[in-house]
Amino acid sequence: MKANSDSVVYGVLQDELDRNRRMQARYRQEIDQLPKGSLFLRKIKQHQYYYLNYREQDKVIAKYLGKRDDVQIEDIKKLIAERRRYEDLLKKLSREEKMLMKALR
Amino acid sequence: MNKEQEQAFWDTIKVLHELDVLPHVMLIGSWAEYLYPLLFESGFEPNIRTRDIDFFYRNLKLPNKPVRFVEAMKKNGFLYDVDSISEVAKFYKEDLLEIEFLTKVFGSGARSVYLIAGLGIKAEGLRIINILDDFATEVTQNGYTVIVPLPSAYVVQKLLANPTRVPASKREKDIASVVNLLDHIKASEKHRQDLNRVLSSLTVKQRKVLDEVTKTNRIDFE
Repeated sequence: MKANSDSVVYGVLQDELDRNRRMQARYRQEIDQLPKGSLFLRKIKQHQYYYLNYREQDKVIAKYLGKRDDVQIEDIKKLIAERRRYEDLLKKLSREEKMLMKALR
Repeated sequence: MNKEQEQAFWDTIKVLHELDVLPHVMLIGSWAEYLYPLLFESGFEPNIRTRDIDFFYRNLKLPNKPVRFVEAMKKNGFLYDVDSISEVAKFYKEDLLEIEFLTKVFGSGARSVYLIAGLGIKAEGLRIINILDDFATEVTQNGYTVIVPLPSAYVVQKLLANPTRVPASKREKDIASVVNLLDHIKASEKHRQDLNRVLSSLTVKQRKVLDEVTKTNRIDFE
């Protein structure tokens, strides 16, 4: 019976590297569709307004979202949290990709 | 990561069970081996388990009423993906699992992608898995009954697929799995009988492929 353990491991690692890259591509797509930054409540006279603050290259953007009572704040918070979760996953996958590439070298 | 991965696997089974889809799928690939210890009394331990879970969808016409499968998977933390070229569906659970559905190829089979209408997703058709459909068994664990191929059919299918397995780097891994499993099959009267049943179902052409692969890899069924 023949099964070269080196090539078995190589095959598994190669397979995992391909899968890792597929996952990263899909998570990047998802991240691009989700809002980035953090919410900011600005008080102007008697009214409060929500803004989404984020950085674009060297600029800080404050995107107006609407009046405090008009904005579905919980929904936006969820989407921002989801984006952060995907960003964390992407970091993990990126670290793993480096390890796999090193092992396959 | 193993515990998290196992939990993600059982989360998947739970979704399939809740939607009444579990009886229509067979767990194949390395994750079937994860459930095989329950079928042996000889202390079988699975070989390398990867992050991909393959489900063989056995009857594309079932369930006959649409279920909100993609929605249920998303609700349970899976990310839905559709291959831009083949349109085959995949589901990712964080960095833990990649889930895909496969099905058998019907007729002369020029088509390689099939719609599972009830689930609203497309599955990849693979002729080489047709044999698994005839040799199903059930494993009950954590309160779920999961359909898996008989270990003998699993072994024979892996050997038949070996010459055309892509990428080629998976061939050695499959042989290692076969070697590991075959020791336990040979040690059990029941599994030896199953193996004979599977072998006697093969066509002349399949038998020829099997003989070549077993000879090349020095695998002995006796």
